[in-house]
Amino acid sequence: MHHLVWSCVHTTLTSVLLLLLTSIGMAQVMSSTNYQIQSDSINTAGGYASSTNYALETTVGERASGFSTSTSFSLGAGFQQMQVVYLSMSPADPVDMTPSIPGVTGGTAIGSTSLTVTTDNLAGYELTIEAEGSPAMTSGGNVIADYAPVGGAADFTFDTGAADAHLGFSPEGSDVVSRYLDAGSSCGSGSDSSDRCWDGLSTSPRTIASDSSSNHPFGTETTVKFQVGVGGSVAQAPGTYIATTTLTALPL
Amino acid sequence: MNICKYILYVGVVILFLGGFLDGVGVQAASRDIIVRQQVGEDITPPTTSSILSVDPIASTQIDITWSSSTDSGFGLAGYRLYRDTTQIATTTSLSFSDTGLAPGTTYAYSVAAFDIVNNVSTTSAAVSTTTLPAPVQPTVPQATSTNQVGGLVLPQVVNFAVKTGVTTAEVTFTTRTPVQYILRYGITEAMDAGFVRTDVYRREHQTYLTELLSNTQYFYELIGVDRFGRQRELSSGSFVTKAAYTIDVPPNVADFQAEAVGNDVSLRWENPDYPSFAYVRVVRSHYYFPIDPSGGYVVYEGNAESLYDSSAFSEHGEQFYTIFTYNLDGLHSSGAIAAATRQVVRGSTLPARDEEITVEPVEAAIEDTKDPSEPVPAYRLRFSDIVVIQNGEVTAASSETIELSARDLFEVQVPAALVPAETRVVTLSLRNPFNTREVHRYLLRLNDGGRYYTAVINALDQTGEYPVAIRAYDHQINVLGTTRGVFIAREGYVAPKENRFAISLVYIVIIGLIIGLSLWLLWLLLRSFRRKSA
Repeated sequence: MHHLVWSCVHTTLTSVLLLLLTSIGMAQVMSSTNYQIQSDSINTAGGYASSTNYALETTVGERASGFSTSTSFSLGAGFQQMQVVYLSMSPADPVDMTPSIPGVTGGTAIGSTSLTVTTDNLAGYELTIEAEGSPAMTSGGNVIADYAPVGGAADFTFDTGAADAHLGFSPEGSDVVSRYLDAGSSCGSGSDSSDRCWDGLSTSPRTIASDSSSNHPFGTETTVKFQVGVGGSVAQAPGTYIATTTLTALPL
Repeated sequence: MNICKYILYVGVVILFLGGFLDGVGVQAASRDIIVRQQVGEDITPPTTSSILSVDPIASTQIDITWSSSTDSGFGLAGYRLYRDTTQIATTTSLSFSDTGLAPGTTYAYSVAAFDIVNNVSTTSAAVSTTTLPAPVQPTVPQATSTNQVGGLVLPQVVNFAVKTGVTTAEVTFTTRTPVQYILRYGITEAMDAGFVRTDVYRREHQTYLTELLSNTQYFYELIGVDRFGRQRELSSGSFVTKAAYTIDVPPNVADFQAEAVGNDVSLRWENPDYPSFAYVRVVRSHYYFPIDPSGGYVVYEGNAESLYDSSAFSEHGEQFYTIFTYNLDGLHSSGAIAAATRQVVRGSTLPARDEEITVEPVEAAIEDTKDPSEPVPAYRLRFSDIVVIQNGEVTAASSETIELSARDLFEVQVPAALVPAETRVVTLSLRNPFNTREVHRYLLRLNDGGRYYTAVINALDQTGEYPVAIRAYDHQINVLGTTRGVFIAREGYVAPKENRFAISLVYIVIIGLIIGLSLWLLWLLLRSFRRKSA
């Protein structure tokens, strides 16, 4: 018993020490919502370069990649010139769907918001959407379901059956991913048509737009359209239904 | 078998990896978007509000307040206020001042609430009141020193304040009784630049004077008129707008650092984000920091942000660097400084890494060295004597601190009269609050009038408290005196580029630690399982 207690204490102290070391290391990493380290110089072949009178910890390629020399000086452009990624997302307006849907007869309402993602990341970015809850749209204890496409792909049109009451979305813009492109009658490839290719929200992020290159400084605008449909046989309780969605831009 | 080990080892691995992923994880930008949908017919109007008070403030004004309403439907939108049967206001607040009324006249007020789909509540019961009779006293300023006439309190100001900007002035004041006011102002005692006049009786007053001239004295006169029509001068005097200081010289580079690399010196810095920035000049001397662009060997001119000064230690084991920025007009900054000392080698062979002998650069040695003696009597500079100019405004330091914006460049001014006459160099050291080993130093240059030592420093970028030391040196580089304080940088945050190298090293260390520790912990787990199996 004594051994067991001592072993637990010893293991706990070891673990705490390791966690503290972790925390110390993490505290050194600097970042913000708009920046990240774009290129790091972690090289397995790096190490110590030495001469007769100095020791310098360096990394492979530092001089070769960046220094241009002359008789009096060298200019560094490698490891020392490491850049940070710029990534910004413009503000997006809240969406007030119009019109108000009559609770007895049902109907559809539509709304949209637009935002621009700008990044100088050479690998580009991706934009995702997710809902805060499931279903996304609620009013007190009443809900409007998330739109469910018929198959695996997004629905070419927003279809509302008599018994449906649901909220869907459709992204539009030059960077929308293929899931939201259409070939005239189905989604998954083709071009981006207005009010086509509808999908349902979920609490898991779904990629709606991406680009594999820098779009700095102008950025790329993406519009997200939302649509609510309430079928004629649904006695949807009146009220103000609210869905909170999160759009996230991530550098690739 | 100790189950504690299993649990804790697994926990440590998870937390360690989790912490790593969190620490180095890619940062994202995100926006929350609210989607609102109204469903159903909202045919229920809000509850009926009621008039709480109707207060005849003056012969021409009645103040009305009412209770709040609630809406069970889509939501309350506001209130409609009626005078007799005429709607006079639509508002979301719960009070209103009805002005322009006839003296001695009775008015009835009622209110109705409405929701966002325009369902309107029933109108509240009307409440009547009568405006005060027309004033009978002459409406001329009364030159009286008493605050009462006939037992009635004359207009009287309680608090009066003018907060000046470069081209604006905010005037706030409180009066004992509700008054209207007239505020006249001008650059002469005629006060003909303009006036502000209100027609609502209030006790709390606030107004803004705009389009003023900078660094100019304005005279003002404030006259209050109470509900009986009695006028009285509430305040008069003058105020001076702030000077619109402009920073003409370019800011210095940021994060200038020099590092000895064998017989060479590696220099790096960040050029200022300054519209008319043209180039930098790096000047080197083995005596001391060059205090002007021609004060030493010109090592580099251009707009790079790093430099490898080859064979810098070929003749001298210590080198002092000053980097000047130039703008398109050819003006140069005061200079940022850094020094490097050739590393000393023990014996003829390269020492092992853990045996390396580190010799602090001269600048660090100076920074960390206590003053050799008490400041000479002629050194009278206190931190409160220092001013910072930022965004056209001058901010004076308190006894120990000075606040500034982290987002904007600023100029530091040190009165030349407060340092000894034998002063040759004045330096300013800023310690990075996030990396206390990192000290950035600048030369302060005597301005054209010889009144101030100044330096323009690029935006600090990071909010925080930056310890500051200002030192004066004589021709022999003896310290004449030191003044210490703190720059408190507020607002905003920009990811620091200056920590690039440190960040990378941290990455390498973290990855190494993770790989090693993870393997070790897995080995422990596997060993324990083997023993159990055996």
